[in-house]
Amino acid sequence: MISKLILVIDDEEPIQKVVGLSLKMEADWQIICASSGPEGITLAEASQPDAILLDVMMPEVDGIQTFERLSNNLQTKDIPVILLTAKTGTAEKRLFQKIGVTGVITKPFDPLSLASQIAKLTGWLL
Amino acid sequence: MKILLVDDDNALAEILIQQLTIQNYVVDRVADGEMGWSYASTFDYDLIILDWILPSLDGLRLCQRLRSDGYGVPILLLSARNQQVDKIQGLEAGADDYLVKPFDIKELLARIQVLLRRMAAEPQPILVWGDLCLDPVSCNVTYQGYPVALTAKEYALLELFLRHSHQVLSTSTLLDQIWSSDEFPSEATVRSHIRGLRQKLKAAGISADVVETVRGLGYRLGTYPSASNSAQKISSTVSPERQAQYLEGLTQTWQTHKGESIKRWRHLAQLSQTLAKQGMNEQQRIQAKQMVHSLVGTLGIFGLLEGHRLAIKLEGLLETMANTPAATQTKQFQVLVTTLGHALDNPPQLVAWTTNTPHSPQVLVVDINGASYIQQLMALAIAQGLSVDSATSTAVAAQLLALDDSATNYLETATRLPDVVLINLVGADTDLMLADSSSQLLLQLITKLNTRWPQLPTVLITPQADFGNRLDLTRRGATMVLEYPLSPAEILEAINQATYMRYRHSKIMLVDDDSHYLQKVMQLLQPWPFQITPLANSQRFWTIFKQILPDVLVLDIEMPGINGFELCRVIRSHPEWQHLPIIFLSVHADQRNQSKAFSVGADDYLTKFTQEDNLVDRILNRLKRYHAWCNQENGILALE
Repeated sequence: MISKLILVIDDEEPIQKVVGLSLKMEADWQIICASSGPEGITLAEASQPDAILLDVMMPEVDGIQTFERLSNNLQTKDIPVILLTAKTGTAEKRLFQKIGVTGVITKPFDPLSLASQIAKLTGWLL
Repeated sequence: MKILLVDDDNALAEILIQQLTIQNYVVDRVADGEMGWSYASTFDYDLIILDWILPSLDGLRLCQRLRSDGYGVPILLLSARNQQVDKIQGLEAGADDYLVKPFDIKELLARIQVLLRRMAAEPQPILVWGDLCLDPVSCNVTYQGYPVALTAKEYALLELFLRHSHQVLSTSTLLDQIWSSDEFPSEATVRSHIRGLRQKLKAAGISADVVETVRGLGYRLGTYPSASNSAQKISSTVSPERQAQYLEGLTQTWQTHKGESIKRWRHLAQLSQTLAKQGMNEQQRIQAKQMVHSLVGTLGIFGLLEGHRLAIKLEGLLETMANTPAATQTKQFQVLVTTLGHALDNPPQLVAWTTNTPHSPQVLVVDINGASYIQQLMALAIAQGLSVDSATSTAVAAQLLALDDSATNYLETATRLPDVVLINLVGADTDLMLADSSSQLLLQLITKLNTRWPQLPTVLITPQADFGNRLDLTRRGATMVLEYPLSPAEILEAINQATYMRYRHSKIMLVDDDSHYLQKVMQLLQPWPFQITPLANSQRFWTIFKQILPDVLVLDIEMPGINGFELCRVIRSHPEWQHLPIIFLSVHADQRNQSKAFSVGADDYLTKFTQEDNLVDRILNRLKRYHAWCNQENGILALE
């Protein structure tokens, strides 16, 4: 199994930790964390993660704005971005599809198949 | 230590809460006797402080009710009555102590400490887990009234689990508590005794696991099984050792961050206190929504199922609530927030969240008085995963149950009905008897309900459950008649039982040549009381089918000899089996096979491995429809 580095952008520290725990236990992947959109973009530029898990609902710069900035940034535009959200109404789903994210994972997620879900969305082999 | 304070004097209550909180007690406060009854009978407290004079149900009567229901928790009665005769009356009602107002707060704190100390020194009354009872005085263990013989160590283990029903007990804790140091026990000794205990309880007829293993952490008392309790178990490919490590890490992370969730809950609790008087402004609403939203996410991630479900309900309530909410909404908000506070004490669990949530029994609660204990019951039901709808008038209930609308499609409507209807026939908190006009309306509703939907279980709560009244209610169609007062938990158990009974005789026949897959489906259906007949050899189909006469048939497509399409055609070729529900469960997800299935007479089509979580839902819907059709047919036959 090839190890991956996932950047988690979420303002909730407990969620960062549980995501880290889940990915570690299921697939031995590593994570790095950012608590805000701007911090996440800086970290993505510097560390070039294999994928980004991005929370939608964050104060100030939300997930959608962060995604737009990541997409317009030459250094980060090719990194797959997966949204992490509790909101999955039809309107939201349509919006997420339209903006071109790699995928959406609904919170709460199945903790011990999170890596499989990310792999499925990105086309990686686990 | 948790204390329930039942006092309608806001000024005094505020001081008491402040002082008790300083002493590290966790305090729930309610302002009337009926709410006191709801809280005391729903949550665990270490002590109850009761004021004598209370709205709806006075402290003395509440005390008597708690004692007659077997609540052993210490009760301290507060009263301005200082006559000797009053004190005697209070103590005779079951209070452990009596304090005359006005009092010195230091004296109250000292008396609380004495009561708690005394309680810790005294053994608890009989410990119960469903029908399993352990009497610490006589050291007898019984299941459904029959004695269960245990060794001394097995008995001690069972007593320890029953006394610490919400705790995971590590092997070292069990060794410390039950074995003396000169016995030189090992971890294997504990495992061996737990195995022995499980075997004896199983031999006594208890099918559920009384003692559950929490891998890597220890053991805990299992959850008492009920129809609603079909919690999603983890079905991961991750090894049990990794699962245990994950749970351990999750528990540690929760311990570190629990404070943040409690802080958010406190904010909501404060809002719930001021909501009735001041309503809320837009800023408070936005803040409350953010708090609840964070709780939904956090509690879900940590597998605190009950809290997660309650937070979702609160989120929905905040969406619909006006800035000056109606009294019923305020009450609902308060009850949900309090119940959520208790749910935060639960330990994290390993929960496999799937996109398709499994079927949760649907309950329609008809309560025209907005009774406190019904509000509490609804919060508890939501926490346990039931889907709850409520009707505050008989007109709304009739509409939700399509009682007056004969034009609607009978069978289509049948699939949308709840699994059970609960009707509260208890009057206002002050007078238990309903006004004649309300009573008549509710009785008419019960009769109509039974005439239109005789298969739908109806649970009634009444203050009059003597033989005559019970006979009248059952003649009208009641499935269960519960006598008030009883706790919300007891009502919930009755609801679960009624739901469970409804599907008890339903026969499901599964035909698939893959016997491993058959086992998997049987496991999926296991929480429900269906009579399941699996069949791997389709050549024997007709013989078995005629013996079983199933209520639902689940078919695979590709099978050696005779395939699923052919079986379906054979069934539909018979006039008697035109309405039998047939569901295809196949690995093929393509449109061609689906169309073919429907063209040969299937009612439904699900794809294996991706849609099987929906199977229970689909089976229940088909059963509701099929039972309604059978009733309709029987009615026509009777008329003919």
